[in-house]
Amino acid sequence: MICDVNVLWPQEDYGSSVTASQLSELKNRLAVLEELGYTHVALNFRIRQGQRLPAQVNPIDLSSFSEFKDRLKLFTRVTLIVEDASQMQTVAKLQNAFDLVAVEPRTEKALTSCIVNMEVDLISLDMANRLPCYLKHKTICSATEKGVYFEIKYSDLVDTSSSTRATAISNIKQLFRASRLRGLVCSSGAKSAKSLRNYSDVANMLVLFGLDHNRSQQIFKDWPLKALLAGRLRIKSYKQVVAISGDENLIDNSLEGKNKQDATPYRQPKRRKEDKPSTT
Amino acid sequence: MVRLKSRYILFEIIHPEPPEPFYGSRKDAILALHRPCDAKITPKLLVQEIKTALQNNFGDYGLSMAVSLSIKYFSNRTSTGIIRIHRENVRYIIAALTFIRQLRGQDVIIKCSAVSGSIKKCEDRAIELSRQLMVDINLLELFEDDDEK
Repeated sequence: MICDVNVLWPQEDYGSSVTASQLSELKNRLAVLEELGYTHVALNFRIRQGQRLPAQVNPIDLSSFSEFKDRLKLFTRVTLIVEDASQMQTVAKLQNAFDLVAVEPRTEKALTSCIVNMEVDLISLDMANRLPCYLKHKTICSATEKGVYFEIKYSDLVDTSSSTRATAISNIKQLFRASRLRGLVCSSGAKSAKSLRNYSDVANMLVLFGLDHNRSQQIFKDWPLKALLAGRLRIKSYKQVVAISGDENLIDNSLEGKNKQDATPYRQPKRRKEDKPSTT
Repeated sequence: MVRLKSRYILFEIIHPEPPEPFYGSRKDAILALHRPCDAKITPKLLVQEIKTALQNNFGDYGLSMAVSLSIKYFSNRTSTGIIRIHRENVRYIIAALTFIRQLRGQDVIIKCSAVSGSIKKCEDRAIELSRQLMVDINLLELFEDDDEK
């Protein structure tokens, strides 16, 4: 169960469409990920704040990835780039359409209000540039206690010039210090197949930067899986408390259509009698 | 007497950007990603590339890690190799392998698949891995059929 929760979806915004060559490049990327041992992959759609949402909120159609049906578990993720902390209404609409909801705060105010007010699974700071503010232990740890995970993208380390790499390393070290090495998720964030790496090699690199050896494995396995589970629980459970059947079925999304609400078990009373209920 | 403590690193070179799409099935993906690498890629070139990566990322201090580095085995056909290094410097060498992006102008991913204290275990692991790949593309069955005939 090795996760990569950030594989960039080629679309920039709702207006543009995905060409066939972009799609085949993306599938090549997924095949390389499979070769490197990843099992759970989330396709990441990035949007800027203030964009008008169309009726079909989720542009990613997982049914076009039928080649990977038995090979990889695919999920959808949205990353909202937040610059103005006062306009946060859009998140509620996104929550029901995507498996994972992430935010990328660009200012200090946005970061604090994301932690305090918003129901998200991941906070992804832009490591390639200077951080918006000094990361305080109190702020970061209050997010970790809420169950929000912070994301590190290793493409900032591998596929860049040496000056951005230096910035990225110093930012990662800041995050390590502020978070006390808890609640971190490492993902690729790769734009092309060449900047993907083996997960244990990246873990080894993070150990050199100050992560401890034990947690270097969790950063790819347990923590992203927990974030994924939290995101799935939001759409598949009743008030995030009760869900039908165990963790495995929650993670499994093979039966779902594009509209995730269709597959919510508590809205289909007929199916409930067949399955044994259990609390999660 | 105290033994010289060393580690052996088994690595594979994966070619991520073949000309045509290869995602159709697992078999196509394996054949495309594990294709034999260029004959111009020699152990000497690899040592040089590792040293450049160390110099770029860890400076002179990092370069001092590569003093006892030697490539014990490298095969162009299977794109696998074994590096011998002093025990304390293993992490830096693996990080340097991770940082390598290109070999002779071709994009590569260098995957480090095993670290062991004895070269025997590394060899065993290499055999196991390539056997697994052959099972995945159904080659092994072909071989067995030949034996029966």
